[in-house]
Amino acid sequence: MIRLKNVWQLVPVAIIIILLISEVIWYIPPHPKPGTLQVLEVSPGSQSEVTVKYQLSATLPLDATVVITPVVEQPQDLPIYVFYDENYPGIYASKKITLIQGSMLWVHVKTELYLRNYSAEVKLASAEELESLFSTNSTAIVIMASGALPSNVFSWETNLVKPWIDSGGTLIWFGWVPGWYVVEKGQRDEEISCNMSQHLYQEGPRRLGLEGYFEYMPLEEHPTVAEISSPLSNALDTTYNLIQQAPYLHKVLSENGLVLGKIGGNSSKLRSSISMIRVGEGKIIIFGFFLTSSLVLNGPELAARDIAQILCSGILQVGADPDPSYRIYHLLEGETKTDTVELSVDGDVYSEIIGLIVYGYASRDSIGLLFHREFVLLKKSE
Amino acid sequence: MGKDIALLRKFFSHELAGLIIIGVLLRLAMMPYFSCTYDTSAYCSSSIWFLNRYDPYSTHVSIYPPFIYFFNFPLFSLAYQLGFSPGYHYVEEAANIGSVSGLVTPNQVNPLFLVLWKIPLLCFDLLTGLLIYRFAKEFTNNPRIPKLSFIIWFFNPFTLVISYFHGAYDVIVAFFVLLGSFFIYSRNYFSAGLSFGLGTLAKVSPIYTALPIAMITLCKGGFRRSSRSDLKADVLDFSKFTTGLFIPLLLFAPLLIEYFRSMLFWVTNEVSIGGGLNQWFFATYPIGWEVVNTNIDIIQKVFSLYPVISLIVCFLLCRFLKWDHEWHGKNSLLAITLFTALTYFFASSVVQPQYLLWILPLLMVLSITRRVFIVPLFLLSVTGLTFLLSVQGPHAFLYPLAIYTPLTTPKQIGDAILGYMDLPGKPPYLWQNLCTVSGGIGFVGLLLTIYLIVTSLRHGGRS
Repeated sequence: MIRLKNVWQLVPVAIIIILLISEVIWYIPPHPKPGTLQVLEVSPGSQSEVTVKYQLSATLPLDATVVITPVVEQPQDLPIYVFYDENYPGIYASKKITLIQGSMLWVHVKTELYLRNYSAEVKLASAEELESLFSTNSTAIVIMASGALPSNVFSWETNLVKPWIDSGGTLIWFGWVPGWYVVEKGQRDEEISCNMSQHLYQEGPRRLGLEGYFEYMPLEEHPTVAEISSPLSNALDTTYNLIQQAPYLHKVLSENGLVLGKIGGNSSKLRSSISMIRVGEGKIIIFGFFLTSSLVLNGPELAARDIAQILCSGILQVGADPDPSYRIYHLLEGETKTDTVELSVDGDVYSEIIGLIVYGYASRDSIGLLFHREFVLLKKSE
Repeated sequence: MGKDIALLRKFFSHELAGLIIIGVLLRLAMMPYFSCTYDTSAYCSSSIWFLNRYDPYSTHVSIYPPFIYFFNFPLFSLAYQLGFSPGYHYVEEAANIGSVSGLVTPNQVNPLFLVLWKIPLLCFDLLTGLLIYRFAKEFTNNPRIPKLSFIIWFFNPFTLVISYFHGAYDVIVAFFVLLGSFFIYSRNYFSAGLSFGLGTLAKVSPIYTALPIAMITLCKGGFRRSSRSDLKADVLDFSKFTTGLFIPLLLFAPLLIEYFRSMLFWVTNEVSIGGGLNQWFFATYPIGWEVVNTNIDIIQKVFSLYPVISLIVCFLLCRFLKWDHEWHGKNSLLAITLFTALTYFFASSVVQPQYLLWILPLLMVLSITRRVFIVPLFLLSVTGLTFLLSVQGPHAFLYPLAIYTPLTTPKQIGDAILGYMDLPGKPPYLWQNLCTVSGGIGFVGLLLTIYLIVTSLRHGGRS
């Protein structure tokens, strides 16, 4: 009996020893060990070619993509504000769910950008803070996932949003058509409906400079999804696929916008799940509908990753004809690979290019991780 | 060599040998092709971050304490060094189903990950069975009972489904709670504290049982102690228990602090009740869900009363029960089971059926001396099983089978889930009805557990 009791006594001790050994190994080395990407050489050719040589190293089996984007302006890490205000209701889900999704998106965007060395802050912002941001025309990025604009910044009487975007702001939008619905301070869930005089309906997108981009699509049972990958969704590995309220593809492209997500919908009215529309000096990045619940497709985690991919890849700084080059690699544990990429840029665009963004990331199902982004100034020969 | 053969011969001649071999083979067969994709993809993703030496809490990829990551770390590191790649794949068909059901994730873990993840579960599962067997040997002279107790645990369909279909690691918590109870029963307070501490490192809930038990350890001499030496002995027992309890927590403090910081964020943002086998079983029904969610602030205030309630219960137990040599062991087991049962009612607003595993070994042990505990054991096992299989239908566990074998396809699984969740013309949906009925019965099972513990305490050893 005593011997048996002693055997059981050894169990917690043995488990603690296993855990301790594991802990010591885990803390050595003291820093994370993702894979690395090193740009070895960038040489502009005599014509409109650029050669980029780089080296990838893996600490664990790594599935990675390296995207090289020629850019016409040097990317800046702008401060990011995620709209979160307990005084305003949502227009799709209850206020509580809307607030949870806002905060979940915020925390994941913050993490994804931190991992990619994004140096500016990512903060929650109330409607009043947005009002002061928009009023001063400060260059920043604002994320709105609630699907409706607060009346202090956009209403029948007020429009602080359009001038702010015109002056260089970037709005990232989820939900119904931007500007269609407006919510007022202090309104409760039960006081808000889709048929109220406070809403601007089709006048809203028009006042935001988005006339002709949208058709309001009432939700039947489940939101419409897109299934065809676009070249940029392949390059950036974006996953968001709802197009319930997405802008028309032809309109986005004809106005020098970017198709960053998947494509779907009626063949005569194709839409993209993530689109970038240029408005004045600024941009609106539109996700085709709302966020869904956590951990599944279109949830805050993957949507945050999409946002980080878009902001860090340099794709927003491309010129009129975006043509990033990307390559996919599979590295074994401890393996190193060196590769050379030759970019050929259209002659007219070449003169505008000031540099390249070299962006490396791990695929969503890779065991090893990789976070690298680097701006390389292009020293063209005269 | 001769010693090894003798040891093997001894094992094979043991009455449990055949059962263990069959049980282990059954588990190995279940390991690779079944999983709850929502949970296992989260386990896999956080394990990957951990393997890359990223703290899984500041990166917001985990809501679990660090035990499972540190425990699995050597196993997974070894697998990669040997050229294996446990991980997941992005499955398009599952992604689209997830947009509708909200519970199917596009990241589907591969069989290798599932096997490596479940091997530790098998170890703790087996250890739990052996400890139940050990308890039964202590409690009864009937030679059939220990073996029967082992069989009831080791071949309980609910425990099998939780660990090897679903992939939840609650059996680790169950084992540490039972081990802690065993040491309390044996008056080995330091080891008891260590066990509860390790349990808390695996999931926070054992602390809700451990702290009241620490109080009882201190006050078990009652309020009429005959001598100072009794008080001294109680203080010593209390010190041993709390030292044991906090050693694992302190050893892993750096990551544990990050964990609690991260939990503070998630808990303050937790306003929705997903349903489960707790008092909110009706929350799976639309009307119940609405009522619970609109009153969540009030409900969370009631939850915060748990420390006061457990203090009152501790006081009553110490005041009215005998804690002498004869009664200490039995009363301790009942008290631990009582606080574990109360945890379901007070400690969390979201209770999942897999959490029921924490209390099952305790009920198993209690039923050895008082047969009537078989009833809640049976009720909780059956309703836990039906609830779990009702949420999305049993098909939802078959994604790895569909992806990695030719037996079925992800599309067929997706269609089956949609067909099950959304029966046209038959609202309210089948899954809501099944969850509500099984949840309701499970709720009765938990109430019955508390009732039986109270009557057992009343019938024996009052001071």
